[in-house]
Amino acid sequence: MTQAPQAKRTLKDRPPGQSEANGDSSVQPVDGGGRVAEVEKVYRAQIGSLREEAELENIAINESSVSAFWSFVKTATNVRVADIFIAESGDLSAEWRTGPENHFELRFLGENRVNYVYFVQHPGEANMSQGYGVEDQSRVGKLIDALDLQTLVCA
Amino acid sequence: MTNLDLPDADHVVRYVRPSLVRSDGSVRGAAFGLRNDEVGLSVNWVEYWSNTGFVDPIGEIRSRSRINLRRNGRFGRLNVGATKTQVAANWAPIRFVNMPLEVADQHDADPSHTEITPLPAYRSPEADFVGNLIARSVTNVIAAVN
Repeated sequence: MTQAPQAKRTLKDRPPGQSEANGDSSVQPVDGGGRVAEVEKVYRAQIGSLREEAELENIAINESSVSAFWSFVKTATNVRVADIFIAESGDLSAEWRTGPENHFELRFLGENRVNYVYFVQHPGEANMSQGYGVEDQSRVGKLIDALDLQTLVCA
Repeated sequence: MTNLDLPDADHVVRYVRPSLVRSDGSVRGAAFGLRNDEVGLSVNWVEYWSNTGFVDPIGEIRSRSRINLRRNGRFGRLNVGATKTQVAANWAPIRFVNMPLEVADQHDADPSHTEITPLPAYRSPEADFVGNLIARSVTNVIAAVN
């Protein structure tokens, strides 16, 4: 039996209302439309907890970073829900990961800049693909496409 | 200040605050990034205590800690040689240098204090990458508070 090739997803091409489950509790799919509000609610709760921890650890949260993250959430509506955390600098980071060989991380620096790190073992490739850099936040979608990370990041 | 390079067979631990421990128990790379005012990453040399007759090295490290260890925090344990190999193969050579801390304020001396150096600049993408390389070398995590 043959299967039709599946088109790659990008940050903005996901049909609204469609969802999929991948069985991995650490990476949850996000629908367009109504579920965006639900996702925002999840992130709001997580950021609240991170603020509490930052206060205990004497970490001053970079509010420009948090604003940049919200901007990302509101524009990239077909992205799987990420794990988020606060770095020592106070920047908010988002991590999509199913294991050590399937990991993509963004640090929101503010002012439309992000740091990115990836470790990905693509099927059929002998060596793991890995790297890092800094990019305009508005180009994250193109970055995900270029690094072939749609399966990990996009719902 | 001894400036002794730790033996490759030895181990260090670093305190990891709760949100930098994933739900599966692994440690995020952000746990191994420098703060703005740091030039080396602080860790504790486990074998310093076991080699000098202390039966509970982690207990000594807990009791001499100068940071507030939290109940859900963890110590990430690293083998020196394996971590050096992992980072050198993917970035650049690093050292584990023993830098004992003397008595200060209400703190006891901490002769196990060690620094990992050199590491990339604070907040750089390179620092995020190297932090993840080190995190991938964590062999196990230990409760920071008994």
